Amino acid sequence: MEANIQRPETGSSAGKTPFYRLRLFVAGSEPNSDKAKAVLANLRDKYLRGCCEINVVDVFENYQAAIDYQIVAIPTLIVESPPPQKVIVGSLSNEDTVLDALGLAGREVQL
Amino acid sequence: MSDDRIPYQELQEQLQRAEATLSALRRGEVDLVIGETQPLVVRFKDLVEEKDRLLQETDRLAKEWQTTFNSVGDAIWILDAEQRVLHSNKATEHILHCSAQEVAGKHCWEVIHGTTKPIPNCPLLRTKKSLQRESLELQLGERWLKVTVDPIVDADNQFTGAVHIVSDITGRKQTEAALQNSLQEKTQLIRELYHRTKNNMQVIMSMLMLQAEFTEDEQTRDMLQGTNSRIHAMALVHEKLYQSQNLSRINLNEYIQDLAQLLAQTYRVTPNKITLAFDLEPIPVLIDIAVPCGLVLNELISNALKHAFPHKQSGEISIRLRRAPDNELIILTIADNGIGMPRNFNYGRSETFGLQTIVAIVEHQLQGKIVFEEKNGLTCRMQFKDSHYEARV
Amino acid sequence: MPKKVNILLVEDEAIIALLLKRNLERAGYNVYKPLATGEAAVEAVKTNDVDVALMDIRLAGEIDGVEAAEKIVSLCNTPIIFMTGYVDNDVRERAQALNPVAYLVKPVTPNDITPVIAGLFGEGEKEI
Repeated sequence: MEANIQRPETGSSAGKTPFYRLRLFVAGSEPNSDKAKAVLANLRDKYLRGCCEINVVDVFENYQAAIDYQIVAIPTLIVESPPPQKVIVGSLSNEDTVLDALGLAGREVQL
Repeated sequence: MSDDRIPYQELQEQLQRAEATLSALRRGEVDLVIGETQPLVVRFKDLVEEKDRLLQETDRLAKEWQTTFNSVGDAIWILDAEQRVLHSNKATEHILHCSAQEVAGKHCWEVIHGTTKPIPNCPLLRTKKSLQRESLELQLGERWLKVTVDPIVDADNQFTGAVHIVSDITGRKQTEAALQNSLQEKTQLIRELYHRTKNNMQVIMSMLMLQAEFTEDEQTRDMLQGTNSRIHAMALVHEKLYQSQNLSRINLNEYIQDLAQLLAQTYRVTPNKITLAFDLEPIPVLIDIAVPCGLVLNELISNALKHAFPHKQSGEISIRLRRAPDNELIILTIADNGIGMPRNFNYGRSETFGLQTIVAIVEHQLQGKIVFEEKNGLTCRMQFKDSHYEARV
Repeated sequence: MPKKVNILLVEDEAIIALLLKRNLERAGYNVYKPLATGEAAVEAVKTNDVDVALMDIRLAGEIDGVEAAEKIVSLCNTPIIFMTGYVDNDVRERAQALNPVAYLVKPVTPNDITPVIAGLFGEGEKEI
């Protein structure tokens, strides 16, 4: 399990932005998993710089985690916080769906 | 109600999650599916790629097929098991003057013949029975159409439909008719030519006979009679050609028989005195062989009729015609059981007109060989090839 | 008393006609001046006493020998002898329909004709 934690920087304009805890379940370098990782990295850079913690779980390495989290299909993104918990299944190719789940719909790109 | 029932909220969430999962699966955005009770891992990547590839290929094939279907110049219909039109191509409009919408769902006989029932000899019904390609050429007003039907069968070899093709063959039919006409005209011309040649020969013969009547000299009369007989032998070839089917060959056996009988008539042979015996193999030959052959036979048979049986002696002239086993040579034998030739007669050095022409024709024109033999009369045997001429008509 | 058999000779080739006429006359028959067309032949049977018509089939003029013979037969029921180079089935059938005395295929020589006429009337003369 790799953790990628970014803390908000002082003086940032994203002061009101809540802290995001995301868990992405992937399967090695399968195409949909790679795509989901890329999409999420892009979203983080655009909107969540400094206010998110992303855990990427490779089920090839940690299969039990997938069972524990009751994951059915890979890739799956779980938005653990802010509550309520949300689950997105698939390669995150529809950006609107993801932004909606993160409550970021209509938000300006963070500069 | 039991205590372990799932709260509504949780049920809702599970349902949403299941729907999201199914939706992602349908979109091909899933790499793995994870079993709940045991670690069941299914790889989707290959399946998805294969599905995409298949979809693309199917799409490509469909386009390829549709383009082909529509670019063919014949009207093509795919028929269902009840012989109704499922699909029709673009050429349908051009050939049968009706649109795809007009044709769809109709029986072929309704469209082509305007009838409520199949026509007699309908190729479609024949195909249904035979499960083979069947076709029919039919005339529709000024036009000629060819209908070809191929069956479509299922795995159990049951008829499930057919490919029904209508081609406009008017052009071909017209060309065929024109060719047939032109051929007929030429045939007519050639026959006319043979007819006229023969007619002219009759005029020449009549002239010679008239001249013979005006002459007192016995020898001159004989000469004129001899020439007359030779022309008659040639005229007979033209008559046979005129009658023959292919206009270029005549049956040598039939010709020989007619010529021998004609000569027997000319020399007023009493039927019981001198008999003609034929043993002739059917051999078709070109005019180039028939004419020289006829001239030689004319001399030999005339000679036998005139000289072999003097003093009303009776006898037989036999004529035998064979093709040698190697197929190369024609062998012709004329034998009589008469008195034979005078002593000291040398055929090779003979000065008589008749014999000289025989030798010249056989050796020079037919490129063959001729031998005379004396044994219970006179036998003449000749052989020649018929392969050094080609049909010109 | 015996009377000579009268022959109508219809043949458009002058030389052939001349030869046949001479030979038939020598055999003791009376031969009218040969005619070259079917039309002339039909006219001739109306005004002459013809015992047998010797007809070529291909003739000068509009009608052929068979058509002329049809008219001659319907006018006077004259016996017909055809002589022709034609051996076409349809021509032959039309000719045979008239029930001719003979159908001789050319080249026809006097030797072919005299026995046919002799068979019909005897040697040159007929009993009235």
